[in-house]
Amino acid sequence: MFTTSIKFWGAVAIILGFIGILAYGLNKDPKKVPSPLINKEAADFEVSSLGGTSSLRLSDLRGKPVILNFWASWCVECQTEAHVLESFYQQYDKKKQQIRVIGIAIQDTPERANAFANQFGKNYFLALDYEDGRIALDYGIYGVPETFFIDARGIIRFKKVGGVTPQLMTQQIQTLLRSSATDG
Amino acid sequence: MKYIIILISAFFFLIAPGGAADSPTEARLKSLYNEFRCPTCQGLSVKDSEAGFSVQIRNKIGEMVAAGASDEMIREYFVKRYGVWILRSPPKEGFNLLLWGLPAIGIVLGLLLLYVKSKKWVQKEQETIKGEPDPLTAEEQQLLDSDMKRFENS
Amino acid sequence: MADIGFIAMVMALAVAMYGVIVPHMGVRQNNWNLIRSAQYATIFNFLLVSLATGILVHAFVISDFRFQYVWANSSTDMPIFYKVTGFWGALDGSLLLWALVQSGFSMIVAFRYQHTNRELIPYVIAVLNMIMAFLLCLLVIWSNPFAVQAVVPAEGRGLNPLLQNPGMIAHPPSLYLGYIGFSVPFAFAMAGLIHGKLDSQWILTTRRWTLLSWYFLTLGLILGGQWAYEELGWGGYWAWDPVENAAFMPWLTGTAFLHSVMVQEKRDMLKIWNIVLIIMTFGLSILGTFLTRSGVVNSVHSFTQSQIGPFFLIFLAVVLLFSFTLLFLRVRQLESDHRLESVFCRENAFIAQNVMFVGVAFTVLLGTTFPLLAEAIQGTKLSIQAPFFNTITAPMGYIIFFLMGVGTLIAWRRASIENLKKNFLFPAVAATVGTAGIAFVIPFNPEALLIIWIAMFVTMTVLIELFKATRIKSLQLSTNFLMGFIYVILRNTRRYGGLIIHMGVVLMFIGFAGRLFDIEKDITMEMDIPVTVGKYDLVFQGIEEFPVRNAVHRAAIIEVYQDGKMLEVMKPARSFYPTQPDPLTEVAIRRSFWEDLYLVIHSEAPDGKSATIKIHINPLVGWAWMSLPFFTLGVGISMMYRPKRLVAKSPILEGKYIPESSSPT
Repeated sequence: MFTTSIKFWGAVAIILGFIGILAYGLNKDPKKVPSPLINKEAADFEVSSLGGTSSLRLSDLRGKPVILNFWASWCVECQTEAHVLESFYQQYDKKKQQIRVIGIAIQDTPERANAFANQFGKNYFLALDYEDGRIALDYGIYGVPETFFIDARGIIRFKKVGGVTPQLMTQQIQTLLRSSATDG
Repeated sequence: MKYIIILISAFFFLIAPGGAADSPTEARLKSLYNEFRCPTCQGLSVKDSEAGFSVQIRNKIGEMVAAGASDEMIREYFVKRYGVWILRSPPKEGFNLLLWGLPAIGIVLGLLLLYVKSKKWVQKEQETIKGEPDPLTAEEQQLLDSDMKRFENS
Repeated sequence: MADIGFIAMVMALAVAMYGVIVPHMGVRQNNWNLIRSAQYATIFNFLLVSLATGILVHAFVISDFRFQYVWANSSTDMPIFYKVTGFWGALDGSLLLWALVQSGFSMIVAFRYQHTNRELIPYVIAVLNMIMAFLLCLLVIWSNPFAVQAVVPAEGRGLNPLLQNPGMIAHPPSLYLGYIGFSVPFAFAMAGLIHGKLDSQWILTTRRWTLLSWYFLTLGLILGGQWAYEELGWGGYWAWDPVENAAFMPWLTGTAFLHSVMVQEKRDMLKIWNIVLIIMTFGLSILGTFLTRSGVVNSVHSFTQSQIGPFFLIFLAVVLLFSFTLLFLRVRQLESDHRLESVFCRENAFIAQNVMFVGVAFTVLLGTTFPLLAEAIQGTKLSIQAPFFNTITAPMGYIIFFLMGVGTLIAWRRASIENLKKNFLFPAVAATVGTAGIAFVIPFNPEALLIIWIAMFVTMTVLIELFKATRIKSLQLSTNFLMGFIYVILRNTRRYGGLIIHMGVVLMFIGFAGRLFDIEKDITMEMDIPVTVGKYDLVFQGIEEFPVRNAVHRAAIIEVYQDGKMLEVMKPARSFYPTQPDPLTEVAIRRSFWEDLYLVIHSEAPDGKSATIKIHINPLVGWAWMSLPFFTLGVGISMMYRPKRLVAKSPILEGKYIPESSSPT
């Protein structure tokens, strides 16, 4: 009888443990993969803007936090987040000049990317990834949109997979500005 | 029988691939491609998918191989950027050993249990066959004892 | 109309609940009339669910887009065949299909076995109705296919084009028939545990259900593989996708069950183990549906996600806890006296095979759920895909394959060394000679040689067995060989039906071996310039555009030559559907006995002068598909067998559950 009850409770424990794991899985989004790049230095790159009027090297922006957004003209979710990025660009980049907002279009053509930027009103610094997808690979992009929050010293602090929300932007920008303030 | 074998061998001869075998570099590339998942699809490697990311990862691997990188360096390169998630089978280390080891352990234990148990079943059967007498009941023992006593006394 | 459909489902739910409760009252009051009413309830239930199904199918046929579900899964431009079958194209409809089949099965079971299994039948009805009630709850509360929309769109969104393939249309119902079929032996096992009648009658009674369920699961898996091969365009048929794994796991334990019940039948062993196996099989069927439908794991089939995950999980927990508790309450009564004369015997070959099958099922389960465990414990995300599964399960598969040959000829109870030698020396030697011959002509590959050796070994054991039996029989009856052969098979349908299925498995493994010799080339083909791959010369002749059904295809025209002779013009294409943003791949396959030439177009130059084509040569793929006729024939023959002990019937007397004339068990 003793061993039977051990077996019984053992089986119950296994069943409940298994169900527990599945229940845990139900509350997880299988599409969200944590990035190993958090708290690492952001990979440098140099790109010229979509219009070809200016160029930019990421490491030249040290001293200011950077919001680095990856997008594409073929991406549906990028349409809905476009105005969020734009409004924060207007406030923190253009007006206050506290941070830089950069958008890198991946697997795209200049014509389509431009058309998308015009249609959805993206006025911040936009550039195309290289033909070989160098920048996307360096940042471990596995879908668009993805947004990296890089602090004033060029360290990646946070990564958002999927469209950004105003709340998330505000919160992350506050953190970035605070940390660059303490850095002096 | 002989004919069957000859026939089968002949058939297999027909299907033998004719000179299209991959060069060593091609073979190495393919096996490397097969190690990385297509980031946007499910279940497919970058070898089997034509998604933009897969093509780019393939090209990068090709570039690194051409530059003389070892397989290990290539794996490291991608794991550093994507995490181990990019590998289609997790490295055999730490907690993952559970994944790699449990199936074999389970089967070995199962077969071992079967062996031990069936030894026992065989033993039980043999004991019955040998026909060892059942132990006497108290009554029978009494009867036997009294008979023996009578026998001794007489 | 939608209201009537919904009301029918609600009523069916009420009837199912009635069917759960009333049989117990019938038993307690010893009143067969109450049990009879539960039997009739299953008919009523079936009619109600049929009515609901009919309404939904009708809405599909007339493209009634007031139904949200119809709008989301159909469009007016679809052929009528896909309109009708589109009804199980997504979650809600497929659950309704499940309910329909489940209620049909319950009805058959409730009446068919009332004489042979009088004691158990009330409980069987109750358990089956329990499952019914769960399904109907899902339908009524979470995924109602009769939901209507106020604004009626003019056009529907169309059935997912990937699903517009005959194989894919038959695939889900086939899997469901398998899943649902296994609920019958499960219900009998539970009934036995509740009632306390723990003999092997349930196994004899449900033998055909088990066989048929196994067949439909197998059919579903093969159809799914063919669909993947034809539609997904990566050149293979099995990707170890979580959803494929979900259907594979109950198949594995079901196959183990199919074999181990024979040991119980012949030798009265493994009573507990068999109940464990059927619980696992049924549980894994539910788990499979959960994995497919909840979106808990990533999958190519992610178009089927929904919010019913938690409810499925609770049902799974209830089923497992309920059945294991019942089992443990009866475990002492189930312990039987196991005896063997030798460790080497057919019993142990079967049990070892069982261990391997459950081992593979465990591996697949572990691989499918381990990413969740790793994330919970380590916080890291893992991918577990084909390389893991292939590495671990291939050796297990080969061991099972080998045991298949051993199990055919080894004796029950005991096998002496002489006996083993006599039976296995010749097949082993023949297989070795044959494999050596083949080794000379194919590129060296130890894994392929191992598969070929086992395949030959198994084939020889089967042939020898058939040959011997036929010779004896034809001598006995002094008739010719063919008649003797037919007579042998008909005399022992179950054994020889099984052996025919085993030959199908041999073909399948040869197909697996073929995959080790795949050729795969990515080539940008220029107009009129021939490309040589394998024994074929391919010439690209430009791009053509033509309408197909409800889509437009852009195809590369490729002429295939062999030794200067044109074999075929192949047209790998991409299809553009008006309702879909991205084109889909339309593979071109030239099938032949020895290999498939498999072409996929990846891209074309803007000027149409060149195209990038992926060229696969897949040896022996057809052999894997050829296993299906063997499975069909084998199962058909095996179904003819009828256990003798079943014939005894006990009439229902005096409207009582336990008549006075017979003593209670």
